[in-house]
Amino acid sequence: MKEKIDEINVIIINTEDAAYTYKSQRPELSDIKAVDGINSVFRRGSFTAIIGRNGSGKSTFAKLLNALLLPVRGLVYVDGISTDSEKYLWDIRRIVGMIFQNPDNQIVGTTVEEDVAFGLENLGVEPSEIRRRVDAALCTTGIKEFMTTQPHHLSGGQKQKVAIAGIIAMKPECIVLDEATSMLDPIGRNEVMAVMRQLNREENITVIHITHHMDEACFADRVMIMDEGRMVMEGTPKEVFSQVRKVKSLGMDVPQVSELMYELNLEGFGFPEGILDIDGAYDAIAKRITAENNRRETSSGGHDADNR
Amino acid sequence: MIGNITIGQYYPGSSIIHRVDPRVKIILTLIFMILVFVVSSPAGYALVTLFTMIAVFYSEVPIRYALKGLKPLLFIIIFVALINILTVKGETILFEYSFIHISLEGILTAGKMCLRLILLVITASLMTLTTTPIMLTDGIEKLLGPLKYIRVPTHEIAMMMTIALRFIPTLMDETDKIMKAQAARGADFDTGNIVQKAKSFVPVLVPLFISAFRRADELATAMEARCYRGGEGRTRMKQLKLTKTDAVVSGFILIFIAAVTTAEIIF
Repeated sequence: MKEKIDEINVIIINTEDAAYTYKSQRPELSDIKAVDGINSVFRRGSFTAIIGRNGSGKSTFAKLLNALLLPVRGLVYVDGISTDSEKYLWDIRRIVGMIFQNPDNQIVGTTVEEDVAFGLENLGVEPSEIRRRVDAALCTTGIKEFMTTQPHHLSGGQKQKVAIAGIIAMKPECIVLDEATSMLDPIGRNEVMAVMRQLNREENITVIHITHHMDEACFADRVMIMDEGRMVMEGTPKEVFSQVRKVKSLGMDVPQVSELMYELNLEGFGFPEGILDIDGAYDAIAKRITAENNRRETSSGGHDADNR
Repeated sequence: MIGNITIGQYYPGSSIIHRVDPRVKIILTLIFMILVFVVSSPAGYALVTLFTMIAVFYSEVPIRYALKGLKPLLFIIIFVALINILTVKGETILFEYSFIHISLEGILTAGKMCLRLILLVITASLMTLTTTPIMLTDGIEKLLGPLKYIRVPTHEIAMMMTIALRFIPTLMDETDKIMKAQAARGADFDTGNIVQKAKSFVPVLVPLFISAFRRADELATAMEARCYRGGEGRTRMKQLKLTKTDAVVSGFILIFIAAVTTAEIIF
């Protein structure tokens, strides 16, 4: 029994055969199965990346996680509560915060601080407590200096940070980023990812990051790949991205380094599998070159004649 | 093309007038406007003019900003003046030519009417110059508060105003972008008569509307995701609080009203 409770406590979200279908507007077209029976478990404090090509159902799946959509079949549990229980709807939405793709279309307030306060105002928190939490959230995300700035004067990355601050002020346990980096430039993307990693590490907030960028997926503890409404692959970034051919057959790229190592291995170099970052690749290749040079030096008896 | 547009016309500052609570400011402005309408004696006019000048002085807003609001109304002011000069029948005729009679009384009435209009515009712009749009919205929401009981959706009205203020710059940028995109496809916005110019804006307005609806949809989802459920049980971070400044300014206005009334009775 004790074990069972512990098991529940470490899980923040789980889905059981969750499915969602968009009703088609015209009778001659069939309904679209966006999410088609997904079983998944998200542990507290984990960092999961969900990838998949356009139309694979990622965003629909994300919306199932905080009761913006309710599954037509199966169930979604947040902190042990089914998302279809109306009584706890607002608790569920507070626990699972969500950042959307377009930074402009999710900022409500006319100044940064007003927007960060929006969620707390909706929850009916005391004004003095709102002020305190807003200031804390602005500090955590590093946008304190823009407190009274109007949102349209901010860059895309800064706007997303405002949105993140607005969520963390509500003290969530999980943040879902629904392609939140896809409209940002590389600098903005790095800034947002840095904040999310910091929140994940320091505040132990569970992160579910839906993305197109394989480089971002490499930072996650776990990668899930969706295709046609189903989870088709799941594992650590190493496990997933070393299966280059399978990932590519699902219409996606692997991180550049994985691609390079894969191509080299096809040429028969036999590098170890699961190298994802540039440093790892550099070490492996450098080691190989030194070894190769040593081998040549010994075999050619010290002659440097064909030093290629 | 559209460039830096500021919403409203707030002039940042921290003068005594800036610091007055928006609710108090709205009410006092309304009272003053009524006063401007009811005065009729020269002394009364002198007092309200003097008061407006004092208010502009204390607001620390440059005179040319305060007068800027008059520009679009210049035509109306001149028109009102002309009508009064030409139509008011007086005893002291200054100039007469066939059907045109210009009398001293006519000129005086015209002067009074113009002064009234000018003072009204200056007070109204002074209010918007010294209050941020969001403060105005908050003030209006609070003042309309009692109407809630007769089922006026005051919270919704205020929320709509806030969102409008938030999205005006965004939609301006978007209009600019669409205009450039259409210009790159050969659209011409600058030539032709007014009908042709209006027609050339259709290819701008259609995408703008579609995009505005999409934005509204996404914003509604985002608001729901942040637990928005209407005005019930909602708190505000910034509470409007009456301070000493409000008491002082209100007191001053009361004394002023008394002065104007006395002046009206005596003269």
